[in-house]
Amino acid sequence: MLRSCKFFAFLSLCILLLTTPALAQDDGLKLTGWPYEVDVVTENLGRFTDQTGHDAVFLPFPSNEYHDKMVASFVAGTEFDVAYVRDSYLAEWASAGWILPITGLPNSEELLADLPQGIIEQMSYDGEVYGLPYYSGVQTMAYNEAHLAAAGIDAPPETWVEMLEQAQMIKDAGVVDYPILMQLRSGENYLLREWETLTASRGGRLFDDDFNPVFHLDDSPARQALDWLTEGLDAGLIDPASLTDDDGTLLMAAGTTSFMTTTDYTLKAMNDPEQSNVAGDIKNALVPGTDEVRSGTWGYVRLYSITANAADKDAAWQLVQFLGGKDATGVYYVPKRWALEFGLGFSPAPLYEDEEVRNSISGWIDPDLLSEQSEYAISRPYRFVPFFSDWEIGSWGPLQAAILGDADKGQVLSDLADEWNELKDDWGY
Amino acid sequence: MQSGIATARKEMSQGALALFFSAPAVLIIAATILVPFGMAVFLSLHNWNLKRPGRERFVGLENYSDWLSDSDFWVPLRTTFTFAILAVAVIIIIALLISLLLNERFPGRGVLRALLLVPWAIPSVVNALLWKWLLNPQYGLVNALFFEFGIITEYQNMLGSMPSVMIWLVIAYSWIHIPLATLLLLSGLQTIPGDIYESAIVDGASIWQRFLYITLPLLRPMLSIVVIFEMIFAFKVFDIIFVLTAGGPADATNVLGWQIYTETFRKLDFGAGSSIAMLLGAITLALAILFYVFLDKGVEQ
Repeated sequence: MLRSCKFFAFLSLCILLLTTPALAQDDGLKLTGWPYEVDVVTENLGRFTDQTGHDAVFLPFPSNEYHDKMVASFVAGTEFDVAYVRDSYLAEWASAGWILPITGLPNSEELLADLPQGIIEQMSYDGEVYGLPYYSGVQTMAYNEAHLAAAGIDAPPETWVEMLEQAQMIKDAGVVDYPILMQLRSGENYLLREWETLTASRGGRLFDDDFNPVFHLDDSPARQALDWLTEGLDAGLIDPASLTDDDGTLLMAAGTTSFMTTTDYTLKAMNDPEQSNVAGDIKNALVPGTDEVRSGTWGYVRLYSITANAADKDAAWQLVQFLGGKDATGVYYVPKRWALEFGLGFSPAPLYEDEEVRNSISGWIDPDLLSEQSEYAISRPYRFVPFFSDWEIGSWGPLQAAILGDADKGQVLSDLADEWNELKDDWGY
Repeated sequence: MQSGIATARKEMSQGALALFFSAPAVLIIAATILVPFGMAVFLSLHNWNLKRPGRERFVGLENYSDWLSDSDFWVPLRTTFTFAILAVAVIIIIALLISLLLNERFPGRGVLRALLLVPWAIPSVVNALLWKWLLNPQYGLVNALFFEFGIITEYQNMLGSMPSVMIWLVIAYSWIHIPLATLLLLSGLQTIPGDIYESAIVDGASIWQRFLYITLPLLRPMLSIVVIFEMIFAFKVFDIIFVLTAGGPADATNVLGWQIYTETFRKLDFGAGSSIAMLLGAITLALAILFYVFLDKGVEQ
């Protein structure tokens, strides 16, 4: 019996000794986000360690589960130090106290001075800035130039009506079955964003500056947008896969789609021969408008934030500065690398003047058109109220029903406006 | 008298020993089942939204009454019933047919039984991903086959509208659940004595009569277990919905499991999410008891 006890004591000691180095490694900074180019992120963190002496490790969650996994982590008290944050749930995380403002931290004023005011506003909640940008950009239109040429079309559409006409010509020419792909799937990055694009490009908004809904008003641009989607689906011009597909970029790169609205950086993958069957054929154009309105759109930003659970907040701020701002040599190393190698949109003003960056992006996107597109971007302050995500989640089903013709559009929009107003009252806005 | 006390002491010490050895298991069960369950009950009685820290408060049964007067509960409940009834019907009918086949003696029966286990061995999320590829509207095998055989003239989005989406969900779900049901029914069939069939044959009973008056009544206890199990599984469906439809299109596949996920992990309303989870648990339990009583009565008869 005594021999057994000694054996177990020895075994326990061995396990303790073996696990001690592993536990010791946990002292480094923990960065979490979605798993985009994990190797590159890890390389960047290696540079950070070399420059600062702080170990750092990247522990990503799947992109489409990122929000839910992070919420669970925040609630459970998992000690991530720095996290990627999408502007769509910045307000939610900031109001819950899960991420910390950077306002007033060392160097923050200098770094924020390099950023456009619109980007700073999109990274703010309740007067405080909550991080530095990972990447940013605008929603634009991508089209397959070869498909248009095969159907005898010289230039991309300037209006949504014209897009349906061109799509019909492409379909009739037998180029593809469904020329238009829209992102109408239930989910954070799909249906509502597409509706916002379609609405903004008709000169409309979903909410006014006081956060009152305007999408439900008679003949509103938002209502016209839904009518256009129904018309396109019924005519077999909008791919029915739009309702379920979760990565339109792949379909565009496969050459089975002629038009889609998309975030600017995806054009790099669409024009990369290693990732696309139609590399070189995909061009950017201004988002179509109407006879009166030219190409409204919206911008977005993804940012790095310090979590409230960060054990060493000074070190976490150093990491945020390295990732979203300047490294120890005083250059925007990480933002520039994302721009050069992956086409991710950037915000710091000095990078716009960087010749290397300018030459790089012109290989896969027309920078002048992109610049013009940015001028038409509207702000979406309603997205930064903490109840927005509650309302958005509840809107997906009814909006899909309205688009498919399974529910009366007027009634759906009226009900959604009522739900928004109830939430607004409940939250005291 | 003394011998009686000694026996009682011995029994008590044996009881204490049994308690001592079973204590770890009891503790683990308490920690992994009772504590989370208790926590869920606690949350369901509170207004507990993670986005509104500091505003947690006891609301009694208000969450429950809110749900019971809300279409966001009744519509998903109807969808859950539709899905569960269709899925269980498909699973039971096909599993019964396959088990009857595998109960016969023929060459290759062993291989066929082994192959039957393949879908069952696949994790349900992998199964869902597999069906997502098969049903892809641009390059899915199902579309290719239907197109080749002239069933469709152009590729369809099978998951894009009702009733197609429900049919394919039931098929995808049943595919992975049929093997277990088949194995259970097969084990039930093998307990039926062969001489009963021989007597029936001597009496001139047809195959259909033998199935109806011998196989089905004697299989009823196992059938009841399989129906209850499958009904419980189908009521709790979530993973296949998560991967294939995310509750869409237009909430057409928004079952209670998905509604719980949405309330709890998307809206972060743990009070509302827990209360609807409790309601789902109660409904599932009630159904299981109902089936048990109904089928057990049948067995007695």
